[in-house]
Amino acid sequence: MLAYTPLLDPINLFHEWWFVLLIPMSLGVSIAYKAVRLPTLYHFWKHVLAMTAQIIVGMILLAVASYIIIEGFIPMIVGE
Amino acid sequence: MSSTGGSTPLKHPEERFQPVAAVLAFLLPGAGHYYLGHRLRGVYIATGVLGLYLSGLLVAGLDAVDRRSNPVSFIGQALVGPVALGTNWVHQNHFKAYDPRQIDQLRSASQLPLLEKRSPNPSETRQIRNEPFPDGTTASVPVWSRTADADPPYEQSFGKVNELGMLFCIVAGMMNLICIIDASMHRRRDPKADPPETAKLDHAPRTNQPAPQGDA
Repeated sequence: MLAYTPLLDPINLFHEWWFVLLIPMSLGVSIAYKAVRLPTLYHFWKHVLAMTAQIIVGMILLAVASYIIIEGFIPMIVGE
Repeated sequence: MSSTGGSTPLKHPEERFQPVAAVLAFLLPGAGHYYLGHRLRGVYIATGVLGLYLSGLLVAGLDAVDRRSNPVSFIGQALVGPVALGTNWVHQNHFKAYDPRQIDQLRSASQLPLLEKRSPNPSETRQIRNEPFPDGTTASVPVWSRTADADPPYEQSFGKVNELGMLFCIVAGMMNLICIIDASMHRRRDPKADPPETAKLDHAPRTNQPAPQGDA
């Protein structure tokens, strides 16, 4: 691995595992969104983790649905 | 016909446009809410927005924020505020440089702004050259110099890593836009009258049962 200078050089880790970055991204989105939307910040982190899990599960379900449509449904209607 | 009684105002009386909070929220994510007294909320917003932005820079490096190469993406990134604008300025003025072959084709130093600076290739190093032009003018110009043991100031990012780094920074800007809009219409918190920010929310009873009257 080449020398990595944080904030200057790209990290040489996620070329194959890019989808792992979905987790910190959904966590950041959840923190900012819940900080705005919650009436009070009681159990803030519980709400954040719940929303993070919802985003990740939602994305996985969308990926599964896309896979089924592309690999199963479209070949079936095309008649392969 | 005028309505008398029975109607409730849609907004809290103190809920009005807060231009100072909106400007502060743009200048530093979370500062608008902090200014309105929602201090913990402001800290959480700063954590979320700046966390996303820094994650983008950590993943894709400085190439994640580039107004010249990715102008559409930069519109979203710029909503993070001066942090993103400053990152782009530093990138354009202190890390990019001109291709020397393009410099050789110029006739005057006044034509320099027409050229596009670029990121380094692996075997290039950034040098400031005092360049003479055919019309007699000279200018200090940052150019890429190719040498065997060159040490570029940073690496370009490509592929998924670059896309995701940019996406992190764009999402940070989009989230900050939500926070700016929210801060601009937020009620100022009264520390004496309002409950603590982390207070448990009391839900109103769903039935017509009377609310508890205390310990009496």
